[in-house]
Parts: sequence; C-alpha cells; structure tokens
Amino acid sequence: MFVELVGNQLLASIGELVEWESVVCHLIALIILTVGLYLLLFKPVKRMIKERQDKIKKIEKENSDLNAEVKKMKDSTAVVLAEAKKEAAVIHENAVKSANQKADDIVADAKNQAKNLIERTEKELDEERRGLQSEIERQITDVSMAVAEKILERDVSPEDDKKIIAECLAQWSKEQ
Amino acid sequence: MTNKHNITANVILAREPDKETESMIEKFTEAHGCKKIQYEIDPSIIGGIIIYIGDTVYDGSVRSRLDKIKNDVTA
Amino acid sequence: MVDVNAIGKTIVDKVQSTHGVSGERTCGKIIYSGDGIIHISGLSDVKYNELLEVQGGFKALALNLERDSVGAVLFSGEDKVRFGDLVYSTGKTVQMPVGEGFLGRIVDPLGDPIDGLADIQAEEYRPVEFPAPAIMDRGKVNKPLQTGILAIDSMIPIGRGQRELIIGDRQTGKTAIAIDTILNQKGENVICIYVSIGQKASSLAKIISTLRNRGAMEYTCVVCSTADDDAPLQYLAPYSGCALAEYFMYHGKDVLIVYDDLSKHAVAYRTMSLLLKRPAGREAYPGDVFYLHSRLLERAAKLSPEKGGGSITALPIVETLAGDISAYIPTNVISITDGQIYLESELFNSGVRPAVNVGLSVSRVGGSAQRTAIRQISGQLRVNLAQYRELAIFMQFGSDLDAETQKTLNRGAKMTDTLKQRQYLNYSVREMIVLLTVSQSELVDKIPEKKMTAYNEGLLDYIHANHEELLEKIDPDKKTDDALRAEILSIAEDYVNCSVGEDSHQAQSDAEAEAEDAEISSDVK
Repeated sequence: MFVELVGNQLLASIGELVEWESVVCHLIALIILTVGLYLLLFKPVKRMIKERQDKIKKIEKENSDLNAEVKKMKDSTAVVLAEAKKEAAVIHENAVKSANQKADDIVADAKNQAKNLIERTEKELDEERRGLQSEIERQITDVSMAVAEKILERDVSPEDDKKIIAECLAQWSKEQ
Repeated sequence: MTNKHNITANVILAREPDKETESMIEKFTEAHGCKKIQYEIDPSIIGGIIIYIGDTVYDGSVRSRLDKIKNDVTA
Repeated sequence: MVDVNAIGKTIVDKVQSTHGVSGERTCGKIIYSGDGIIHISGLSDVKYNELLEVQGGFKALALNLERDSVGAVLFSGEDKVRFGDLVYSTGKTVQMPVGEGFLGRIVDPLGDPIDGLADIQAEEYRPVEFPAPAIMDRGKVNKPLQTGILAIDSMIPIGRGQRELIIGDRQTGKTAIAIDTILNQKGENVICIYVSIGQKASSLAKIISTLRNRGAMEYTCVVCSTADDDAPLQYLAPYSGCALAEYFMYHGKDVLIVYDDLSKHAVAYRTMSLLLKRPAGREAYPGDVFYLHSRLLERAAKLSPEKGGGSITALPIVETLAGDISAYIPTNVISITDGQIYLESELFNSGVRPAVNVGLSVSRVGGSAQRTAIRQISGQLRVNLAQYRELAIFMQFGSDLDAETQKTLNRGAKMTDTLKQRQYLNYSVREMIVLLTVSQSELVDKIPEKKMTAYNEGLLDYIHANHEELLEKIDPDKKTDDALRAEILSIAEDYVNCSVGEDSHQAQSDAEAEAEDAEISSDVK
C-alpha cells in the first residue's frame, strides 16, 4: 500500500514538474536530430572507412603481387644464368674445337712441308749424284774420243779408207 | 731429184783418191744425175767420204761417226 | 757414292748401242744470223714448222719458206751459230715428250726439266702443233670445274672442257684466281698444267713454292718460259703445254690448263714476226695473230664418251692496259673463248677481292654444268646483286631513302661482302650452298655491316666443329628443299645469336648515332 502511495505521489510530482507537451517536443527534436545526424554524418564516414579498407586491401594485394614477381624474377634469373653458363660452355667448346682443328691443320701443314722439304732435298741429292756421274762419263768420253781421233788419224790406212768409202757408197745406193 | 741434174757434186775426202775409188764415186754420183765432180781434200775428217749433191748431204766420214758416238754417250 | 764401275759399264753400253753411218740428209747453209733468226739457203724440201738441226746440236724452227731461202728461229745457241754453218732438216715437227712422269715437275717448252731433278722418262712424244678434236669427237660440257671461289662458281660457272678467259689490268689478281683454281683441284682427279709465258722468274718461283707447299704439285706440271727466254721458246710454251694436256685428255683424264698470259705470248710472236720481216698489221701484230690463239684454244675440248670422255679446260689470262678490253689481243681472245672473268682494278683497290666485275663477266656454256643446288640459289643472287648495283648508283645522288630501299641496299652490301674471299681460302660446294642460303635470307639483317666476311668464316668453322652432319646432308646435285633450308638457317641463327650479341648492340648504338648525325646534318641544311 505504501509503495503504491509513494508511486502515485511521485508520478503526480513528476507530472507537475514535466509537462507532457515539452516531452513530446523533446522527443520530436530527438528524432529529427537522430535522422539528420544519420543522413549527414554516418553515411560519409561509413563510405570513407570502406574506401580506406579497399585501399588497404589493394595495397596488400599489390604487395603480394610484387612479392610473387620478385620471386619469379629470382627464379628466372637463375634459369637465365644457367642457360648462359651452358651457352658459354658451348661457345667455349666450339672455340676450343675450332682452335684445335686449326692447330691440327697448321701442325699437319708444317709437318707436310717439312716432309716435302726432306723429300725434295733427297731428290736433289740423288740428282746431284747423277749429275756428277754423267759429268765423269762426259770427261771419260772426251778423253777417249781425243785418244781415238789421234790413233785413227795415224792408223787409218788408204786401204781402210777405201773400204769405208766403198761401204758407204754401197749403203747409200741401197737406200735409194 | 730433178734439181740434181747438171749440178756439181762436192766430194770431200781425207786423202787423194786412187783410180778405183774415183770410179766408184763417179758411178754413185752418176746414179744421182751428176756429171761433174769436184774433189776437196780435208784431213780433219780423218777418213771416209762426204758427198754434197745439191741440198742433200751424204756424210760417211770417220769424224762424223766419232761425233755421233760422242753425242750419244754424253746425251 | 758415285759408282765407278757403273760409269764404265754405261759408257760401254752406250757406245755399243750407237751404230753406223748416217744416211742421206738434206742440208742447207746459214746465210744470215741475227736476233735469233737465221736464213738458210738450200733446204728446198723443208716443211712449214719443221724442226731444224743446226751444226753444233742447236735446234731451230722453220717458219718462212721462200723460193731460195728458209727463215727460221733458233731455240738456243743464238750467239754460237755462225755464218756458213750447216743446217739439217729432221723431217719432224717440234715434239714434246709427254707422260705421267711430268706431274710434279717444272719443264721448259721443249720438255727438259729445269727443277734440278732427274730426267723425265717420256712415255711418248706428241707434236706440239696438233689439230683440235673434230666436231664429232666432242661431247657436251656437263661437268663443273669447281674453282672454289664463291663469286665464280655461283655466277660464272666453269665446265670441264670450257675455255674461260681471265682478263684484267695488271695487279688485279688474275694469276691468283688461276692458282686458287689449281689448288682447289686437289682430290678432284683433275690434272693441272700451268704454262707461264714470259713471266718474271721471281713471281714464277713464288707460284711454284705456293703450289708445292699446298700439295698441289702432285697433280700439276709447270711448263715455263720466263721473261729472259728467247721469243721462240715463249712462243712455243703454250703449245707444248697443250700437247702435254692432250696426252692426258686422250687418256680419258680431265685436265685444267692455265696460260699465263697470252698477251705476252702475242708479244713474243710479234717479235718473231717482225724479225722475220712479215707484214705488220694492227698494233704491229702480224696478220695471223688471231689464228695463233684460236688454234691453241680450239684444242681445249670435252671429248665424247666414245673417245674416252677426257677434257681440257683452258683458263687463258690476258692483261689489259688501263681496263681497255677493246684492244686487239683482248677482243680476239674474248671472241674465241666461251666467256670471260673480268677483273677491275677499281674493285680490287676498294677491297673487293676477287675483284670480279659480275656485270661484265659471263660464262657461255658453264651454266649447264653447274651443280643443281647452286643453280637454284644463284639465279636469285644475280638478280639481287644487279638490283643492288642499280640502287647503289642511284643512291649516290643523295636522295632520301625509305626503309625498304635502305634494307635492299644493306642486304646488297652484305651480299657483296659474302662474295669477298681471301686468297687460298677455297670453299667446297657444300660450304658455298650454306653461305649462299644464309646470304639470301632475312638473317643477314642481324649481322652488323663490315663484319660479314669474318662472320662467314666463323660460321663455316662453327659448322665444321659442331654440325658436320649438316654438310653431309646437303646434296649439291639436288634442289635444296625447304626443310634443309630451314635447318641451315636455324644453325646459322644459333651462331649469329651467340657470336653477334655484343656486336649488334654496338652496331645499333652506332646506327642510332649515325641517324642522329644525319638528322643534325639535315637540320643544318
């Protein structure tokens, strides 16, 4: 009972203190304020925040992309390096091969020339020997011819001469 | 052999020919159409005979034989 | 050691083998002797071109037969023959000893060795003057003679049995082409004869040592008359060489004969003719100077298979004065031969070696003998080069060039560079096919200018070292198909990529700098 009484009395005092119209007015003002604030402030802020988030996301994505790329590049560099090494090896090999070939050619050429030189010198030596021999032959012939002439000049008798002449004439007549 | 008619045959010998040799030579030259013979003595041919009739030469001298041997041996 | 017993024995043998008295001989007397010319009275039945024997063992050649005297030229003993000496006729024309033994030797025009080596065993004697093969005995020129020189084998092909003149001023590399050709016959089963007529002894010695060092003497014989030989010997040399060549030809072999050079031969003949008091004609040459060369060059032929199928390919050389190919001897020889390789001193001096003027050089019969694969590429090459030359002349007027023209010009310059070739560097047929294929492709655009020659040599080395199988795959007697072409190009590309790398960057920057320069200069204008 007492509580009921106190409550009624409190209500009455409040009712005396606050007029219901002002309460309504306050309520209306509050509503208007809330709506206005919602429209003017909350939406742009929300949008701003969203944009921020997007940006951050994008940057993050870019970051990861870049990372991937760097990784990829690292990988490809290794490949290129390996290839280059391989190529260098091939080129080196080629160079060595052709150099060897050339060297072989040159050596073979030089050997050949040396061989030719020796062969030629041997041939020349032979020829020299042969020349010497024929020179000796010539000398001997000259001497013997001179001797023969002297002997013949003295020893050809008129009879021999006649015989030679007769022989010659007979031969020439036969040829006719 | 027409050009050899009435041409003097030049005969070179090492020594003077005797009659027999002369007749042999005459027989030979006549066969080649030469009537006249001119003898020449050249001891350097040593022996044998060389006969010139026109452009033709018959060389049967000892000297030429020696030369031939010499050429053949040294060639 | 010298064998004393052998000497005695040989002499005895020789004395035994000579026999008896010489028979009837026709003789005459010398009534004039001078300048190597003798006039002889008598000798009424001597024949033209008969060999005469002068007292003392000298040889002469009867050339003028008159009513009561004979004019002859002495081969030797000019200073020993005296008035009144006897001259005997031999009844023979001049004979040349011939045989296999002549290969590797150096002989004079009478067949005597002059290289200081042993006597040559002649297998037979052939007359120096010999009639050319009859028409029915000749076959078609159908086998190529590879010179190993890219410019010639691709555009002026020479066939076995052809006569191709090499003509040009002095110092334009005429002999070099001939020598390269001889060197390239190694292993080709071709016998070579190099006839030197009135050459300097020093240059001849150089040629011989080159041939010897490069192993070409095994299949080569040098018939030589140097400048100090008497005119009759110089006159005789080409005929002697030809007699030797004929010996091999009639034995079914292929022969290459080089006459170096026919202008000196004509001069020697002129000397003889004027001394013999024959009437002089144009440029004081006697009237039969055309016949002099035509009868020599007609003897070069390809024999029909029934006659053994041998051939003589003649490469006569003629020297012009100041590029004048309308002089007497050049026009004569040009009209006799089956084509000419024209060398120009301007090209030579501007670094194009061999200095072949492709426009003026032709080969009239060699085309049919060209290898199929080369013929396939070379047709295009000729057209492209002609186009390039036309453009190059036009460009001298300095008009602005569009990109396309510039490209044609660049390619043309590179093609010309490809045709440049060092002396003694002969290409095989297969190498030529590779080079021609590459030079006709897009690939050349990658190669920097001025590096083309080095690049070509490098490419061949590269292929020899790494892709020997490619060369074996190429068949010169078949058309190159697209697959093979692609293979050649891909290998060449590999080489270009790994060798040109740095150069191309450099070349690019050079080109840019040049372009800038050009812009600046045009701005200034």
